[in-house]
Amino acid sequence: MIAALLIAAGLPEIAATAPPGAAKLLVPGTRGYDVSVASSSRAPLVDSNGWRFRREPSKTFAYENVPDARLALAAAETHVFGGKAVIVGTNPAKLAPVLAFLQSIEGPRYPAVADFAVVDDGSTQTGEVLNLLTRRNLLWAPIAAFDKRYPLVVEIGSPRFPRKAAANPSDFASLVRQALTDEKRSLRVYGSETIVGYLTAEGGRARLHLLNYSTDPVDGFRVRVLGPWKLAALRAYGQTGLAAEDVESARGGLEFGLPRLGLYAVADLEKQ
Amino acid sequence: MLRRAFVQLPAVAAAATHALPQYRSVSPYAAGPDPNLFPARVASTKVTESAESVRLSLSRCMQALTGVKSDREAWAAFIQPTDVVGIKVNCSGAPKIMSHPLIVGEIARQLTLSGVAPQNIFIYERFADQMVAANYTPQLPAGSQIHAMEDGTRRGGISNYDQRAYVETDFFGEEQTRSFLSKLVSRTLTKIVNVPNMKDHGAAGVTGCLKNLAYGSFSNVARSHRDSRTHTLSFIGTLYQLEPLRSKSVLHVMDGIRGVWQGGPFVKADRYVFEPQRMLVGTDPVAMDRLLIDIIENKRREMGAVSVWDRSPAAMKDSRYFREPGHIEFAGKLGLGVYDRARIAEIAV
Repeated sequence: MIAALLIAAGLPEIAATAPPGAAKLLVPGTRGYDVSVASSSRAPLVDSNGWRFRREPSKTFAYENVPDARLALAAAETHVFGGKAVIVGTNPAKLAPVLAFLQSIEGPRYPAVADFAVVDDGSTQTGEVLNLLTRRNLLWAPIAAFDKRYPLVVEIGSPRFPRKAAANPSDFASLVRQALTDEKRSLRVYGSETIVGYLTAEGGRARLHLLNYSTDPVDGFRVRVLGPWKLAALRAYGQTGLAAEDVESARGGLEFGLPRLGLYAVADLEKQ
Repeated sequence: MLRRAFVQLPAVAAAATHALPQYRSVSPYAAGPDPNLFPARVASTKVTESAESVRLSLSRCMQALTGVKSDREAWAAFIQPTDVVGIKVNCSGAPKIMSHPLIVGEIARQLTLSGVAPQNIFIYERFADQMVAANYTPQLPAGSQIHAMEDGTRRGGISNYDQRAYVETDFFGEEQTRSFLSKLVSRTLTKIVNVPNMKDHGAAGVTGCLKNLAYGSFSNVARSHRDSRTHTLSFIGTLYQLEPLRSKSVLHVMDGIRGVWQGGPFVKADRYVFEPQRMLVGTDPVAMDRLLIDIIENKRREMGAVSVWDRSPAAMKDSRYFREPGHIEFAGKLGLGVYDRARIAEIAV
């Protein structure tokens, strides 16, 4: 009963073993990121399961062998992306604070904002592309077949998005970004490459989720949300008194900075 | 001081000989008075690694630059007692090469003699670990402040940068397209004294006044280099001219006690370090950097190294990138100073 309630709220269940048929998830976080090494790119490898939750929202997934330091992130990403997930073999007390926070912010769930559609054939290759798009904060909607109602449709194998290009999902994500153009992106995150955002909206309201996949706090970053939004509320897990800085409307969008992010923040927006 | 945010669109495309990145420069800060009080004029003298030599050399250069007979009058041309002054050092390569602590200390001493309170003197650089290695504190008046924008081991945070003042461009498809200006520069300092070294630079050709202030006051600048390509040609001047950085940068003291003629900006081998034993002082960063090209070129020629202008395959053997010393002329075309060597008056004292 409790588990059912948790899942209904987009929160992970805690169990001794993985349910039969549950698909195993990555331990969320970052890998191979050495900030002490000088390089032209400081982009870390982010392990996010968001795209899997979005691709198969009714499927049951399982987190296994999650270190204590990543438990709260696992719970938060399950909540953010509305997944059905079980965290296996952990002490429920370790998750109690983050679950309490997630329940405290529970509210109406709006549809995901998408700047373009991706024809999802269910393949591993398309999955990797969805993964990279999610990590780059490129907001997509999955569709089963080409749909001209979307101004931009990404179909792997089409002349504009050849299958050969998808062999490198990172480059492919860049190709999609070029086709979309930055000016038309509903969400940008400046100053961090470990934050994955998820923007949902309906009518005059929106909710922006910001997940930090690094175990280190992000020391300042800036968000841009396209559209005539104003910031209505801001809350963050484990951070009291968090306030947005340098809030402004600029070039058709709302911009604000956050001085620090530990794990997760949620911003509620309203149309001006 | 604050005003409506405006977009500075560099009107320099015509000045370039090849396609430039598209820059969008944004700042809510208005330009102050023109900081280049002595365009095309550079005071130059010998300097050695001693407190006495540094004191005398700086004094001679300041008086020669300004045409007055006392240090007090010379410094008063740039600094008032109410100023909050940043000393922009260069610590890439510390502790082997950096803005020399003796010079930084003497500048700070002169600032206090000008009436600036020690707590209103900030020695600043991007990375904290480099500042620690440079160890300026023993040379500074008590109460002076050391400021780094980014932690040494967790580089990349922008909490110490001004999110309203930035240059945006996409060089190579990088996701992080904005370089933000230091918050210390935009909101706290009223004047900046720039103290670059005399160094070769694998991407910029040389690193002097322009690059030290530009790349040393903004976040996320290393993205301008990738593979063998670098956009230092246009990025350095574009960053430098963003207000209020340009207006506040009133004086440049180029430290040539020690320099790097190859492999810069760091010290890849001790044999690449040399001792120009020169100090340049001026308000025109382009003119000073133009002189720096000759200093580095002459040393490289003496040592049998390729020219910083060389773009042949041979040049790529000793550099990861095609060097872009043309960034100095480019900055001149942006109006940041005088590049034409024939117009530059070097006053040797």
